[in-house]
Amino acid sequence: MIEKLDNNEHILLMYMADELPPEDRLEVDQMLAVDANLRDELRLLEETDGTLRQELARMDAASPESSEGAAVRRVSREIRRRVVRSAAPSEAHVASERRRSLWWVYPTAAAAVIILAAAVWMPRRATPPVVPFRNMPTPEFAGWYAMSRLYQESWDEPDEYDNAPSAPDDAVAMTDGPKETGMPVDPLNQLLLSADAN
Amino acid sequence: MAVQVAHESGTPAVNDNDEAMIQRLRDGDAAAGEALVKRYGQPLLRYLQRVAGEQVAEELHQQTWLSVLDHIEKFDSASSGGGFKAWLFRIATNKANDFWRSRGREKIARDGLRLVTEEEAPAAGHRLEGSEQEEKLRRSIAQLPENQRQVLMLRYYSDLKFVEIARILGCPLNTALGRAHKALLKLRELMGE
Repeated sequence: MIEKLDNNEHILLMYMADELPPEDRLEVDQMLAVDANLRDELRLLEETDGTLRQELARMDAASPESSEGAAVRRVSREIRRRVVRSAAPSEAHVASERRRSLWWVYPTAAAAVIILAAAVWMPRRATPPVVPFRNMPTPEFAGWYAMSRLYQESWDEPDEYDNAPSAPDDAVAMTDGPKETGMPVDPLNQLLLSADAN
Repeated sequence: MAVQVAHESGTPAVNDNDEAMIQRLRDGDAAAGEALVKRYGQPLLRYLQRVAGEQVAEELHQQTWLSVLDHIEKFDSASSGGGFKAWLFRIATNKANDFWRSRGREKIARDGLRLVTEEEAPAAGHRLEGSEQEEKLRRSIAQLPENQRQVLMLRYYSDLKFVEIARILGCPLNTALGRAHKALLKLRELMGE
């Protein structure tokens, strides 16, 4: 260990504090035996160290025991208070634990609502509007009714049918419906109107 | 290290070493905490009195123990060189350093940019009727640079080895030894030996 110390002063301090390994201590003993300056330096350090310890002990003994004891007791009480308080679960902690244990309730409820809503809404969206019975086309127009269903399904693509013929020419002739309005003609409505007219 | 400690509440004296007391404290045994305070409280308080001054020593002392309580779960005596005592004094030293840093900033703010050599005056409430020698020593210790004062007081009040002291202060062993040596020489000069 001596080789790690920078100088003789450091070695002497470690020697004085009895913190050197036995083999290093033996080596220092040999150095002290032959070096008078080193011995003087060690003696001065030991005297100063001894005086300091003595005076510090006297100073500590002179300081009022009651104030130090009181300070230590105050800390003891505070530690006891904190330890006891931390050992008892707080109401907030209990509530939070309860909430933590039921964490799955809200997500499950939300998922159930979403699924229910989807189950109700989706079929409505897929089902075409029901035509009142009285407006149902007569058998004579069943074929055209089927055709009109195809047109109805393509309503979302106005561009394709903007200029499409409003209905087959025979249908128009039978219904005597509007011929030239300048607007896109709804084939189903035309058939229904013609059914009503009949 | 087995130390006999008489308990305030009348429970039998505890012969447990520090590790056993720490484990009991972690398990919620307040009496173990109190026993640790009784074991180390006084030397720790005196160390803080010498290093930070008597006016703030008690507050720093309390802060140190509360820090110990807050971080007791993280403390590992196996990896912490010097055990609980070294850890305790390290926390106290950090508290004292924080205090001095904040006080240094206040001084700079109050005195402009002129740094004032901080000479610790005896506390007003502490009317020392002791010997002149004690007063001289008190003033001499106060005149030491902070880092030298810390090394010397750690040495005397914690009874830790220089290797452990160096670890607490976060400096190499040779640096700690150099500070101790300079402090001793300075004190010798100030005390007029």
